[in-house]
Amino acid sequence: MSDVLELNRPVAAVGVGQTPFTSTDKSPTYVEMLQRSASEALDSASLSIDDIDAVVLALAPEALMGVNHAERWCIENLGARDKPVLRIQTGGATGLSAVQAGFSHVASGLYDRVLVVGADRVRESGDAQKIFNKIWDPFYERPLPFTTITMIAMSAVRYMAKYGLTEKQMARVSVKAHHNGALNPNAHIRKEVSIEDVLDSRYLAWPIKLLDACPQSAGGCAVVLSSADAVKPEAQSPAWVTGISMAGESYFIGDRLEVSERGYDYGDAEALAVAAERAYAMAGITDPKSQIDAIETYASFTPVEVHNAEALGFADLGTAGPLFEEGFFDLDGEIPLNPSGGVICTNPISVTAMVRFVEAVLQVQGNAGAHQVEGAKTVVATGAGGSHQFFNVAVVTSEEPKK
Amino acid sequence: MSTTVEPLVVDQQWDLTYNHTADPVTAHFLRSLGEGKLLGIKCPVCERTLAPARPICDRDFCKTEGWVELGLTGTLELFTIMNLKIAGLPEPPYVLAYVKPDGSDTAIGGFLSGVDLSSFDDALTHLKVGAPTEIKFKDEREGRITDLYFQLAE
Amino acid sequence: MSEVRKKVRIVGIGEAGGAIPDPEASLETTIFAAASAALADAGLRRDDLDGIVLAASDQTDGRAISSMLTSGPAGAYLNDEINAASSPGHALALAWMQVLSGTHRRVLISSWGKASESTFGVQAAERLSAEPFYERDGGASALAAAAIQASVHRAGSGDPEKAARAAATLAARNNTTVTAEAVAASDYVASPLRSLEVPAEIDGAFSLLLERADLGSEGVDIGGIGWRSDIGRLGERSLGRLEHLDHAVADAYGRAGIDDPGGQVDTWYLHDYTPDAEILAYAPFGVCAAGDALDLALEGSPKVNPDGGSLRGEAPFGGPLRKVLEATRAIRAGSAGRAVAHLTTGFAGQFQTAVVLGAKS
Repeated sequence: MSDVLELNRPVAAVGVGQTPFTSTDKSPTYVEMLQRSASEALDSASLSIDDIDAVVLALAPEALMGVNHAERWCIENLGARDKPVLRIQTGGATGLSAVQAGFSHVASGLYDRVLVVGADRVRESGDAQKIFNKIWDPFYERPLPFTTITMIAMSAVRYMAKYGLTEKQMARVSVKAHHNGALNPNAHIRKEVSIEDVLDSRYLAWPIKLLDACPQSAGGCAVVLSSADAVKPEAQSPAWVTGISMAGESYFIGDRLEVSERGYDYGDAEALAVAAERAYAMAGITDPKSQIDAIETYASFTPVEVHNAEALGFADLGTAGPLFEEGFFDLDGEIPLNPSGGVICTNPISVTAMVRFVEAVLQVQGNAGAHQVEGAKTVVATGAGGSHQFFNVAVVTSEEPKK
Repeated sequence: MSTTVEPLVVDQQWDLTYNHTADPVTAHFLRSLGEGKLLGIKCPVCERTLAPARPICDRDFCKTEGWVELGLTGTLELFTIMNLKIAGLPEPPYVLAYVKPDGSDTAIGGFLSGVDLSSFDDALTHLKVGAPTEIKFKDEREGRITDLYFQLAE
Repeated sequence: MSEVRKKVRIVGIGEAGGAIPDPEASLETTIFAAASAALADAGLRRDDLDGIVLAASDQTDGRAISSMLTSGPAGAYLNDEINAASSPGHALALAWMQVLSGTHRRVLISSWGKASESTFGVQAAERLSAEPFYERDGGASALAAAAIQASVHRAGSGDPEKAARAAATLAARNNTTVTAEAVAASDYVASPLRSLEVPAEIDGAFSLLLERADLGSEGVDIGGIGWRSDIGRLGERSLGRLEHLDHAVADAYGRAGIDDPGGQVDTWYLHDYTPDAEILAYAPFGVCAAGDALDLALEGSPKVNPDGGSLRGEAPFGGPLRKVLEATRAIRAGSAGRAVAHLTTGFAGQFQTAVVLGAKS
């Protein structure tokens, strides 16, 4: 990995869009959601599709929405005929990987304005978990009940055994998430819950209960990235992407049992910590707790918010559970985590990680409305995908990078 | 929108069969399961013993070599009590577990049986990370990962 | 950024698989073989990499998130990995941009396709990319689209009989084991295409190692890459006149400083998923004028697909990346100073990528 980074030129997000997330049966078609979120992002940047030089499409397993290589279908619906278009797929991390690809388009010097867009209809095929069985190794794992739920349940079991996390602490995470989601007009689930509600909800895979878990959502999301020269200061409020990187674990869950030099094993999120180290180094973040104002992190289940907070440097390993209980990560707490409600309220897989980025941008622009974190200047956004395997991290800030 | 129209739904079926070729390492591991033997394979660089066996060590980016026969005792490393019905998989509740066989540096996934699941709280007094576990073979084997299953040691 | 920093080189290539399926090769071992060969070719180790870019197609591979299992064999452990799942040409373009951005010094690109994994043939998986409301039930498939394109080309040439002869002659020349007469007499696979005019589907994995030029390794310069997309709906595309290919070529040539292709380019590796597709690419790449394309196909030229092109076998989805490897080999061997590789993905070349490789340095 490069020790010395010399970024060719800085990149900003100048427009964002999201459709209100819903269940699939109530949502428009896939291409309509792409169009709507693209339009909203362009409008928010006072741009038209003709101002866009290249497009990056975020699309996770197409089995979820039923059209193989759906990027082929999307071109006319995005007004992208004859443009450079490519599509990114990294499982759940796709939305932020797509932003990363868009960042490379602009930072390379080749393109000044890039549209990053995606959508999903997660119950199009009836049940996402049936499809998720097909992500696993065909020789060793498909006959077994591997799903995203069991994958995380097993990580939580290990975390609990190591550090003593309780189901009540997990429930407190869910209470925070649902409280924030109720304030977010775009969230899919907008209903507050109590600790008792969570503890009474049925087990999906112990210790994960229904209210510890994300929904299956439909919706679209888009971002316009711009070079500094192409920013329109009178019409746009740029959010500078000062750091962005990714790291991937070994695919095999069974290989991640020994405690690493950093002290991590499968109960923790080591590759997230590695990705964060890289993104923070790019962004000049040396002390996340004092330099970052809020966190939008990809966590489909409550225990994941806990170990993510640690991997991102906001708490020592094993200590975040009590911090959640104390309200440290609440919207009015020290460092709000998922002020949007996070993935526990909204999970439109192909774009979930892009929504984290968009929410971070909204925060530093001061446009997050009822879930705005007061005075947020620098926010970290993360994505996750695969067998809790792919992790990406981005840092956005309203402070323009020095020339 | 002023009018409500029933959405028009087009049903589409994906019906594809794939033949996934196993490499010789995976094939030998699976065939050995069929014979009631549990093997691991070594990485020549990091010297870990890997099970289930695979042809490449992704950390050292090299081919694995050197078969090791593993014992049928191990440690429960990960587990969950499944409570969700998924098409094609058993009726819940049941336990999915990763067990590290003695002599292996990695754990194998499989079903863990023999624990009374009528009360999860009671079951969880027995199901604990670190619990000694036995690896068992089914009487009728097919050379598939499901030829083996786990039980907590007495 | 300095001019040298703006140069990116191909410093390693690797390939695995072939026309005869290896019964002991899994998808993962095939990918590993290509990726490790590219590293060895460059004299580098996995630890030297800053990132991995894949072109992994789930439906071609039979996995719902193929890169979960294939990224490890491609070198991704703890690395910055991304999957440009739309085309191997896009994976190459993205890796190039990562290095130009200054965020990565060395990136390993891998693409593949294992025809022997799918019993039903790759066509059925490709078929699932047809638009679901109108075109899928109407029988759209990659082969049908290519055939329609061929018929549009031949009719539009003004001399369909000559065009058919040109296609058969071109196919015979590339195949070398059959005559043009035998090609023309082979069964229709999708009219007007004959079975000996379409590539066999084989197993293959391909890797390229890119490095920023100021690191000083020997390599083949990337002069420029351009990529553009057509719309999806076949009925609304202009299949015989590929404007998006014109523009992809213009992007690549512009970036590489090519304004006289005939004088500045020594060899073209064009994507001949059908002979007609190759012929349709001559004018956009400046190989010859549009009116001379059929004659060029009939006569042949040592400057076009000297390796025989895709006809004898192409790995599904990831296979076209092989053309970049061939172009690199030609420059390394000294038989070309500048070479161009052409990759397409999607029905009838919906996605077009042009790659200009510069001088060896």
